[in-house]
Amino acid sequence: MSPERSHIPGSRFRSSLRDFFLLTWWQLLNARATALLGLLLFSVFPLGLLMFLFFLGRDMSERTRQYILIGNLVYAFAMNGMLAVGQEVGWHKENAGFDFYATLPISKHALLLSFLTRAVLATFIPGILIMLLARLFFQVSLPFSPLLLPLLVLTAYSMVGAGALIGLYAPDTRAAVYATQFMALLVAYFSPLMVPKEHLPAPLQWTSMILPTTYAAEAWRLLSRVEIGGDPSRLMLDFVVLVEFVFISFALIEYKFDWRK
Amino acid sequence: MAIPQQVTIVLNEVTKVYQSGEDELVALDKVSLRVDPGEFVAVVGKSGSGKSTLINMITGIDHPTEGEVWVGDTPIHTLGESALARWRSHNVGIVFQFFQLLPTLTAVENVMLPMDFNGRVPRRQRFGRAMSLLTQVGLADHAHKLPSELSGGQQQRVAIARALANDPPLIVADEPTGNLDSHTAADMFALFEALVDEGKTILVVTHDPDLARRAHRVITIADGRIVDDGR
Ligand SMILES: Nc1ncnc2c1ncn2[C@@H]1O[C@H](COP(=O)(O)OP(=O)(O)O)[C@@H](O)[C@H]1O
Ligand SMILES: [Mg+2]
Repeated sequence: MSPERSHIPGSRFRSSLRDFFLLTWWQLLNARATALLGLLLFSVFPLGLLMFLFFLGRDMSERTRQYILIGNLVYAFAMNGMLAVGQEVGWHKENAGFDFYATLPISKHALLLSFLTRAVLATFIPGILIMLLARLFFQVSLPFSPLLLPLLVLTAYSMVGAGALIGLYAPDTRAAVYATQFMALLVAYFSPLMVPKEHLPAPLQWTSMILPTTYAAEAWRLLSRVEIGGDPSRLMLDFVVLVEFVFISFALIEYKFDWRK
Repeated sequence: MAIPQQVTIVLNEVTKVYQSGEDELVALDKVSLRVDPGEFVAVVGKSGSGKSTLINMITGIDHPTEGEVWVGDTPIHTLGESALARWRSHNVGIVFQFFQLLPTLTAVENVMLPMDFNGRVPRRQRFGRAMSLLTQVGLADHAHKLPSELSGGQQQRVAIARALANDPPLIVADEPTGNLDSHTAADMFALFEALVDEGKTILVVTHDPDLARRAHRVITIADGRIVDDGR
């Protein structure tokens, strides 16, 4: 068709990648007016939990505090992305916002990932802030591992399919907000994010196995040696499972996300 | 094919049936139509008569159930999603009823955005081109304002500048004046007239018979059929 975008295999991926970077750039420009508000919003939940650690957790061991802090951060990375994508998609659907994007020669993956990446980037700042505050004031420090970066990225991307579909099938923006927030609460309190798995009732132990956050938190705990007697071979498994969730997410978007409806 | 040539639009017995549950709704019933390059066409008809469906066939936003849609030598009815999006990016500028500007990009950024994804306009010329398009629609002084700081008419003019970003030969607008007062709507049509003088082909859906008369040709549609093809 055009010399800029040919059908040579491999170039489709390259042009998708290019679209993704362009869209993310425009998304970031698009977010600058509300950036401060967004950061504040993304920080509220983890900061609240940090307070909780401080007031209630004086008698907790450092290991317990680390355990909760990691759960908290995994929550932030997985849920902020899902919430942002779900609500963004809901808003666009209600306001015919996809009409314009649909006229651009871009893939829906590139667009959704740009929504998500905006949220992930916005989560890194409060995430780092919280780790710093935790170390300074609450004597909870987490050892750094280079594997943390891919882990957090996988964590965020593992939930994007769910967010996109909630946004798409919700009848309006408000329903999308409720549904994503309901999901988020479920993940926060009914899965082994802040509560050790053994302490959960059996049915919740089972449902937690289909939540990527369970594996993300376990992996981080293994990396930080917070998991008592953790089996290092589980780490590999956790990464594999997360990658699978990311693939499922992509497949959901590919086959179920019809943005022109 | 870097520069799209002027194109003739041809619809051949196009039928569109919407399926909702058990019910079938015939939105277009064997519609045939030809629009020549440089024509200024208004599409009129009652609400629900099939105006949007008709022009969505031409832009490829929607697919015909039966029949053929040709724009130049491109068979629109056979193209898949991504081929269509690429074709559209080079050949059609679309103007929406609700403007659809990105709310936190300035006017000039909104106009530059489609150039980034199309790639035909060299990077260094994009800002300059966006500014000259805004000048053309009379908004040079507002280039750095956000859509919320502009009136409805001004926003729609930004949207027209954006539709022109990649210099498509065809402009399609579905009730672009539906949210504007009659004076502003008339300004919009004056702008379309100027674009037709430059050689663009323009299809506009409108409710307003006075505005429609300003087009070269008025197509009237009722119950999914063209009852007057304006020829
Ligand atoms: N996506 C759809 N699903 C089912 N019916 C539709 C859809 N889009 C349009 N229709 C129906 O097709 C008919 C023509 O619609 P449309 O082309 O939007 O009319 P107009 O633009 O003239 O108001 C209407 O009866 C409308 O309800
Ligand atoms: Mg309509």
